Amino acid sequence: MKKFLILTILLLAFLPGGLQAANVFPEVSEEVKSGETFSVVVYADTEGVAINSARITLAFDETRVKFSGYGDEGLIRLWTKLPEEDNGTVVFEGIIPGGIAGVYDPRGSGLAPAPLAELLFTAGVPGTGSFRILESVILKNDGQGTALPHNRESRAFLVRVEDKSEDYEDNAPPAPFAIEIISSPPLARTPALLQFQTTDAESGVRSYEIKVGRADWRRAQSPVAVPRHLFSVQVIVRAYDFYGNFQEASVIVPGILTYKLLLTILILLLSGILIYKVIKSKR
Amino acid sequence: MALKFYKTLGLLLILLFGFLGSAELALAQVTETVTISAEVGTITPPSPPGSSGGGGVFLPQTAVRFTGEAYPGATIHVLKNGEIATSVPADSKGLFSATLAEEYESTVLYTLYAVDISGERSLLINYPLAVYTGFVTHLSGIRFAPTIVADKAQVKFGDYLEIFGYSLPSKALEAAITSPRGEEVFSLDSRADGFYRAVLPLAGFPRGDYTIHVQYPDDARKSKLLRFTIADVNIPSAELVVNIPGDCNSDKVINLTDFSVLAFWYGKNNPPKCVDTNSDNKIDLVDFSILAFWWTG
Repeated sequence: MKKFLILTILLLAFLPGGLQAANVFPEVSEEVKSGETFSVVVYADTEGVAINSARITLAFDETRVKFSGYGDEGLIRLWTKLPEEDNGTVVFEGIIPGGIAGVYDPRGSGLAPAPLAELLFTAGVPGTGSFRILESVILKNDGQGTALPHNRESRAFLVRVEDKSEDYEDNAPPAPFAIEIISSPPLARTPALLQFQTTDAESGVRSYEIKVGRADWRRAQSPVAVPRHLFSVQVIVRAYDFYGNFQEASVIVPGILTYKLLLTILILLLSGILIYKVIKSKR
Repeated sequence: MALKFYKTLGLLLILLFGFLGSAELALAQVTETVTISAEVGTITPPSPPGSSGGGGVFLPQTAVRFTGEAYPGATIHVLKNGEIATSVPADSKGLFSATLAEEYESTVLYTLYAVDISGERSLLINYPLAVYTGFVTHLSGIRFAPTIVADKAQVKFGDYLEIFGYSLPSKALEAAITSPRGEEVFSLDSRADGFYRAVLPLAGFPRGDYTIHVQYPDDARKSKLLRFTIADVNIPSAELVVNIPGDCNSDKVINLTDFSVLAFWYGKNNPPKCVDTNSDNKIDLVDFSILAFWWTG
């Protein structure tokens, strides 16, 4: 029995802060139909502790489902990393300004788990699969970014055959948006920035691309440093959803040489030439 | 006998660690007594024009109601999923009530903030709420932390710092000055009109960087955090730029612009000091978390 006691002490000594009740888990229907696009909502049950930031890596069976985008049922509205697929996982990261401790539900007692993000998947080959929280960081809304210890859970699901496959399509582009120029004081280390953000109600915004003047399109993420050119240049940003639809916005970024400056230089030049000619003629 | 002893001891240890774990979680919870209830919604249309009856009261069938305390004469703004939904005034006692009609059954993120009569804003308070069709969901017991303004951004060594703002009328308050060395708390009271003012003597405080906030003694919710320095000369607040963590453009609010500046430096080396909210010389999720805490919108 000495061994039992020693084992008990060792076991409990390595349990962080006692028994952790906070946890992060994916919520999914037990059964989905092959070809159906369905939601997987990642929840955080913080046991009433206010949180404001999360980074989650969700692993899924690539043979059973494919990642199709994200919805707007989650409480994360400001992404530092948009939900993105990476080798059989979906990684996302973002903040909830002001923090939340859970969902107030008048039909329940206490706070219900908080939905962090809604991810969309399309079911493929029939069979069993699972969604697993592979990695997770949850930070408290305490002004210090303290990590909240928590458990991670998995959920299993079944893809069943359906005689008539239901193809899901998103034909609508992301919502219209504007590009904002955030100016920067002279000598500041942070340059002037171009800020852009939009949403897509059907499948979420997958990526942004930017074209500066005549340059090629390239992938971008807000914010982008304002390009510095001699003359003003048009900057176009496209927001793409997960089905290839895009919404475009553009802005004219003033150049270093404005018309006013050019005019001033011209006047000075002409004045200089005139003064030189006058002086020369008097000699 | 020995076997029985060890078994009992083992069980006691398990219970002890289990209790410690749950106690830690209990202490970590926010101390706020917000209550939620739902009643069946009814629609009472107003009396038709020309009728002799008094004007009817319109109560939407599905609605959400927020009631609580702010500051006398304050304006309380309610956002729904980040978009402004309604604004209501608080009365002379600082009490307010806001009702929003809803159409659909879903989880909605409501955000509230208060602006006192001098124009100072509170921090955001979020309430993710499950809305049910046919019910009026009532969230009561909301209380905003006091607002705060400081007269100086830099205090001359041995001098004083004056703070003022608004809270509920005739309430006891606490002002906490924090530095890496620890925290010192000052007690003060608000007037009958909710205004408070305190001159805090800082003799004995060493030179360095400090933060200050105000709160009700029985509430975990804090006011905006203001930074100040103790150095060789006094510098009024209006003249010095950086005052709030992450507020690099010094507009006294933390919003999407500040988020974008932080996002620009995410993962980059040697970020500017004002962006590095926890001063660890890198921008990561912790810095965003600190920004999210002080978000004013």
